[in-house]
Amino acid sequence: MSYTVESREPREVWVPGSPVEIARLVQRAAEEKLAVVPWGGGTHQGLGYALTGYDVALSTARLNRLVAHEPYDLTVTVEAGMTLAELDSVLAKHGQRLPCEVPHPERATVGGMLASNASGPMRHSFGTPRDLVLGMKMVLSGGQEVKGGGRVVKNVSGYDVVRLFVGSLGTLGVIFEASFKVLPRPRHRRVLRIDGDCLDTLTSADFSLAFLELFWDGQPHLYVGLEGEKKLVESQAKRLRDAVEDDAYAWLRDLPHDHPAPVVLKASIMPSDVLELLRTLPPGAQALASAGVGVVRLFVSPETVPALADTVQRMGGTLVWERAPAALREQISLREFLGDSRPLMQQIKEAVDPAAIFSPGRLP
Amino acid sequence: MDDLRRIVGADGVVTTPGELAVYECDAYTLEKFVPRAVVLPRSTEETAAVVKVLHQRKIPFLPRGAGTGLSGGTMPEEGAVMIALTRMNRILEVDVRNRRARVQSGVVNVQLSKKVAPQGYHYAPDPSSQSSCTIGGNVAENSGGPHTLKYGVTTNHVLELEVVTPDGRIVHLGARTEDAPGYDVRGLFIGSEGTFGIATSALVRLTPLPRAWRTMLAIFDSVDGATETVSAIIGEGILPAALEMMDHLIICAVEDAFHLGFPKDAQAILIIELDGLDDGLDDQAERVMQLCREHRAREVRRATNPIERDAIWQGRKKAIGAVGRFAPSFCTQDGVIPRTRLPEVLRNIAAIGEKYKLRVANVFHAGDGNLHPNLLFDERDPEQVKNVFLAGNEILEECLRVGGTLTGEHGIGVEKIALMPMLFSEHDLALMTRLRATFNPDGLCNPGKVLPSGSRGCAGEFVLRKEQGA
Repeated sequence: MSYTVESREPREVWVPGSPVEIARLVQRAAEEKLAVVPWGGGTHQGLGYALTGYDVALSTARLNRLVAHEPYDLTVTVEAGMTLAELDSVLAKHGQRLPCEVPHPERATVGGMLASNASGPMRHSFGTPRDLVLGMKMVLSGGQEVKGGGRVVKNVSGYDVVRLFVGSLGTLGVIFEASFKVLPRPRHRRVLRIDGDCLDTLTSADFSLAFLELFWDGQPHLYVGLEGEKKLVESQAKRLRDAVEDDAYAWLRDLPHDHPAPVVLKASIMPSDVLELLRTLPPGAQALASAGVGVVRLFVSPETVPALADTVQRMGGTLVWERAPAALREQISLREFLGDSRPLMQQIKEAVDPAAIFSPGRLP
Repeated sequence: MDDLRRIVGADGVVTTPGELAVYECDAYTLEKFVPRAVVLPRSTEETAAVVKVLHQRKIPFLPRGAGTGLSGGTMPEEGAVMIALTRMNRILEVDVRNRRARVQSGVVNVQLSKKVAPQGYHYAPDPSSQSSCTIGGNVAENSGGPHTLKYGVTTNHVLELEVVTPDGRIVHLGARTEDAPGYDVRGLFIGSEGTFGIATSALVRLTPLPRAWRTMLAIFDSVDGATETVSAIIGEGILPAALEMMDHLIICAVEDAFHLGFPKDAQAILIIELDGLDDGLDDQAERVMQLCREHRAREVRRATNPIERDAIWQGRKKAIGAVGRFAPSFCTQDGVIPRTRLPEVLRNIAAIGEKYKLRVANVFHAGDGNLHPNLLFDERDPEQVKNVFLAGNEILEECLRVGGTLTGEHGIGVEKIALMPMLFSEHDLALMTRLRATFNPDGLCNPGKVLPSGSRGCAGEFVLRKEQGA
């Protein structure tokens, strides 16, 4: 596996086999003032702002055990290095699943998914990892092992440290274990394609969709996911006129990672603004939107970025990098989308990682 | 005080002892303390100006919504000024197409749902106190309710918060759109129990009202039958919208108070609600009723119209109020356990009740393992009060023993501070302390809550806070 991030190579790759080993390595990094980037499957290392240092990749590859699966409690606890595909096969044995998707689940790890709050089409009905994680264990830059949350689905004991770490892009510590709430696997599933933009109908409460993805290549193409009891799936499919069967699920899930465009951005806007944003794209640019929630992956070339940033700003939305050359990230900030709580975020980074060793520059 | 009156007007500052007494505690009545003053701002700007004044003079302060909290989160420390958000009760914006609404913190939870119901939406987190509690309070506690099993809790429904920081600045946590960039400071703030600042308004998600419901009431002659049914339903792959349980004492209280036709000799009642699009719901409901009968339900009733559905829910939502018939005081606990340990834990809770000679009435969210044992007592008897503290602690220790947690909804407040070290290591508590210090470096905002400090008691010992002279 290559450990390159934005054309930077680390000097070393560390692969600890236990939380105690992680702690020792992290303490060493603090003493030697090394910049450490925690590493799962490497599928989302392009997120965040430009890294200002990268000495060591700290891989969770050896921390990949199932810790506990309690099917009747609907909870599962795993080490962070387990891949999403492996987790899915564990849960499938009891007819359950974690409806969190990332591109390339055979490589992507649980820890990486949490650190990036990555999600796919199913976020339409189940939300993001932030909505499904129950508890987490991490190692901080002083070598301390800490935990947040627990293994139960209702928990307000203490501050919500778990929510803070989700999406923290490896800048606060190393996640080494996590617990999730799991859900029953649906009995039936169909994926249909509609070449058109009947979004208003599909986002109304008359439909209960598993997902609603819009692929744009100059024209809108809707992919509708239906899951559940057979009666529920069939009755909804019947009501979708001009729809054809097209099980493009795996393609939709992997596209944010696989698309060849030089730049990938993620815009979050109001669902009602999605088509308007897409119509501002130049010919040749493509996009994939979770249309019901207003999250749009934009597959563009570098010169499109400033105009996109202006449009998203005008729409009151936010824009972040998912893939871009380091030079572009340094040239165009996008940090204004962090808003007026950025100083607070900086104080949090200093409070949690005072040694400043974890993925420096990436956040905030 | 004059500075505060200049900001909020003379009628916005309460200082007379008679009026202040109203604010001496929330719904956790075991500890009371009268605030130095209560200030009632009408806007975010007024709130920020008030906090600035207090911060400059190093006067401690704390926010309060409707005071329905059950852990003493709004009990003031000595000399603290209370900032009540109840006058900030406007719904500012409703955007049905994008399923969002912006509300001031003082908006009552159920009022938001009522406002958007005609358009087919509701605000999903529905605590049993929803006809009084405020959105701001829900944010502070990360409140849940009976429908969290399917719909989640407050943090899953709040997109952005407007917050007055403890030094009087106004910041926005989260974003109006999904996946706010940077750290989830919004998520960190939710559930911080008023110790990180004051949320003055929130942008929340609206959820479509389900097109159809199937609501069932199953009556059992044993608690075990009811708890086994809960596991069986989950094991079948059915995820109800709500799955609630009430035991014998609660059934009697509710029946005496509301005459809903609950049999007073039943040992447990389960309320099971399925919701969604109409197709397929009947099949699921049939399966659920079958499972109830397989686990020894004496009778299973199904609501056939909205009136019958409401009657079933009345019994649940008013249960805790009805308990007042049996004792002058009660203390509602809030532990969470893995669902599968319910039968064993309920038996042990009954034993703890017997040990301390206290009656225990259980009503709770069985679907997510969130228990609400209600300890019935008379607060005028110090021996009973002491027993309530001891029994409460033992119940929470039991929850931790089986891998649960201290609180599912009501928060730590002052009530459970002494137990925090049982759940969290010193490193865990140190991290939380550092995070609190980034928001609240001077420690003026709602001090004495959530995190143990040197001055608060140790596990096993309790001190009844003195009441100030009436």
